[in-house]
Parts: sequence; C-alpha cells; structure tokens
Amino acid sequence: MSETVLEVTGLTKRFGKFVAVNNIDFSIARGEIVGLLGPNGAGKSSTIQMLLGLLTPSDGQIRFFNKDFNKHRLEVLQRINYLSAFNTLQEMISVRENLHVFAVAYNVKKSKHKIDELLDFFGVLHLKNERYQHISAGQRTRVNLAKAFLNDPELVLMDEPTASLDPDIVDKVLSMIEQFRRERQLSILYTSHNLHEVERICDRVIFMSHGKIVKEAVPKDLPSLHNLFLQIARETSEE
Amino acid sequence: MKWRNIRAVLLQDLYLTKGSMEVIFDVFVFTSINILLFGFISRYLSQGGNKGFEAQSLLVAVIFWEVIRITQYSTSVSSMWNVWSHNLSNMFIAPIRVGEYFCAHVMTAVIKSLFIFVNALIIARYVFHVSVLRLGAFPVLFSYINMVIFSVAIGVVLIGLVFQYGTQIQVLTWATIYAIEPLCAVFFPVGVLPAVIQPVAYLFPVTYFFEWLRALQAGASYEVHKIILATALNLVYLLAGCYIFSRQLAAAKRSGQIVRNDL
Repeated sequence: MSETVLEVTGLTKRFGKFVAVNNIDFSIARGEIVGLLGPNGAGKSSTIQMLLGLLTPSDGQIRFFNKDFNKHRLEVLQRINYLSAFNTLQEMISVRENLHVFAVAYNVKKSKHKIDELLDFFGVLHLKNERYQHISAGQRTRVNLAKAFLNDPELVLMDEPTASLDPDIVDKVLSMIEQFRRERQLSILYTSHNLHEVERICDRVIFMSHGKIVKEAVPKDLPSLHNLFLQIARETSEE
Repeated sequence: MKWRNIRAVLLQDLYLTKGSMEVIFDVFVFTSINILLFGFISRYLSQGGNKGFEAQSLLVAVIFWEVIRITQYSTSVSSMWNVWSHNLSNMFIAPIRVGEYFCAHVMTAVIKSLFIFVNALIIARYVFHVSVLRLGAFPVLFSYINMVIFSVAIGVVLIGLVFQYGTQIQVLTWATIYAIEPLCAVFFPVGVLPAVIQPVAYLFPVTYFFEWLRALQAGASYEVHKIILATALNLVYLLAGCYIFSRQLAAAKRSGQIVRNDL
C-alpha cells in the first residue's frame, strides 16, 4: 500500500454557530491527485486553509507524512506548497526577486539555477526581470506554479489554480501539472469548479457539501462527473 | 530563530525598498523635506528674537519624531505591502516563524530609521549649524533607542489590528502615530497641554525623552528617575505589544480574517 502523505481526521471548523467544515476524514497517498469538489460554501477553501495553518481548526487532527501538523509545522511546510488563483506574489518586485525570496525561505540549493529551470519549464523565463504587476493573469499563474514547485514539494495544495484563465492557458497549465506529476511522485489536493479539469487530472474526487464529505469517487469509473455533481448539489440544497 | 528565514524577509524588504518609489518617497524623501522645513522654521524663529535653544529644539524634536514615524511605519506597512499584493498567505505558509517574519521587518525599520537619523543629523549640522550630538552621545543614542522600541511596540499592535479586523482599518497603520504626536509633547513642553491631558501625555514613554532632550538644550537638568521610569515603561510597552500581537494573530487565524485580508 502506498505511503500516506496527508491524513485528516475529524476536521471541523465552526464560525460561531455556523459549521463551515463538519467532522471530515480523508487521506491522500503519495503520487495521488485528489479533487476536492463542491458548490460554493461547501467548505473546500476552509479545509485547504486549515491544512496550511492559516485557519485554526475548531477540532480534529491533520497529519502530514505521519507527523502532527501542529507539532511539526515548519518541517511540514518545508515539504509542501500551495497554489491559488486568489493569491499573487509581491506586485512591486520582479518575478526573479519574488522567487529568490521564497528560494531563501525554502533553503533551495543553487537557487538561481533552480529558478531559471522552473521558469523555463513553465515557459516564462523571458519574464524573470519583469515586475510581477506587469505580467498577464496566465503568466502569473505560471510564475506561481514555479513558486509552488520551488522546494520540490511532495504535496501541493491547489485552490482553483486555473480560475479566470483562458481555456488554452488552462490546457497548458494542466499539461505542465501532469508532466510534473509523471516526473516526480507528486501528490496534489486540487479544488476547482471546472469538472473537465478534475476529470482529466484527478485519480479520486471528494465531494463536499455544507461542510461534510458526501461522496468519494474515482472519475474514470463514473459515466459523468458532471451529472453526479449536479445530483449532489440538488440533493444537498433540498436538505 | 533562523537567520536564513530572517534573510528571506529582509531580501523582500530590500527589493521592495529599491523597487518602489512609494517607499523611497515615504521613507527618505518626505523625511528629508520635513527636516529641511523645520530647519528653516527654526532659523526663522531664531531671527525673531527668541532664544536660540527654543527654536533649535523644534529641529531636534522633528529629527527624533521622524525616527518614531519611520520605525512605526516600516514595522507596520512592510506587512501591508504583502497584504496589498495578496502575498501574505504565501509568506505565512513558507517555513518561516511569525517571530522571524516580524524580526526581519523590525530590522528593516531600524536600518531605515538609522539611515534617516544620520541623514537628519548631517542636514542639521551642515545646513542649519545645529549639532544634535552636542547634547551628548549618551542622551542622543539612548533616546534614539527608546524611540525605536516605542515605535516597534506601536507598530506591531497596529498591524495586528489589521490582521484581526481587516483592511478597512488599514489607515491606522500610518495615521495613528499622528494622533499620538501631540500627546507625546514632541514640539512643546507637557505643561502647554491642558491640565486634564497632561497625565495622559506621561503614559507615553517617549514624552519623557522629548522633555529630557529639551532640558539638555536649555542647559537644564532632568531627573534621572524619570528616564529610568520611561525606559521601564517602554519595555512594558514592547512586551505588551508583542503579547497583544500574538493574541491578535491567533484571533485572526480563528476567525479566518487573515485569509480574507489576502483575497
């Protein structure tokens, strides 16, 4: 059986009386891409934020690489990374300067070479001296991908990484993620509203609604992920 | 604390400082203009028949005031640049301790304040023929250190407020210090303030240092126990500031505000 890189047990987040994430359990194996799906307000982003330590859980346990995240926070953060369409890098400095800051923070050896290699892989090496604020949304996503892979992470949390991108750019980004996954034993937790993307790259999907996990499935075993998603959304809205 | 992690944040501050006209103007240009402005006001007042030390005390006061303003501004606003760029989450999910992150911002603030302090001393000495060091190396250095400590304490609490309550109160990170300014009796003796406000003025440790510097310029003595009291009060401010900030950050992580700030 493959090694578990992330194990979540009884994870709960309450905001006053509102329960955003309700006692969820799931795990991700090494090399596995798991999609986290659900309608708006399902609790996907809160889950990811708790996994990153940006949001304090009300209850439950998070274990990365068989280590308690609370007790081994820095050690875990060194081995994972994060990519989101909603977070950007520092606008006022160049692409290279941004990546250099994170290369130092992640203790990347031969950082200059590594930065160039990643920017080249994602097709944005020519932008390295551009100010981050001057590059397009698609180029930013690719620079953000370079940042997300800077520390050779074993697990990357991706929160709607392709939101607001043109379809041709989305295709390129997904191809890059697939190639990266093939070349390394990379695990990914992937949230998206685009079911075609999820169907394409995820080994397994977890459906969330009203803060709970309502179904787990393997996309290739389903006749239509889209229909299942609509059915779950309908059922949970009727509850 | 790891130097590597502090260095990462220092690098970001360095890149931001050299790449942003806003930072260069806020920190270096406006400070120099302020020193020049008060220098000319001092010179004008000296010509009006006032005692020289009273006019010069304005120039000395503005030099130390700029130390407070720049240190507090840098401590707080360095993080605001990450909030405005939606980059704060990226910084907080890197393997950097919050203490290391803020230690780096405080170091940047101290470097900037030291730079503008030396720059101001040079302008005062060679443009206005006012030697601040004439007041004594110890009082000048000790006052500078205390001004920095006070500003850091205020700065961390102000950025903590933004983390906890959101960017709608971001103006506090650069405007609060102006509300404190009259209460600290920067440019005039505490006795000028209304009697009811005077005890409030003495709640701010820097008030004592501005009083001390004015006394030195007038050639008068100043009670040592007040300096000791002010230093102790300043350390209480710093410890309280760090504690309050840690509570603010914990509250921001519980409520999710820290993430909402970054969206």
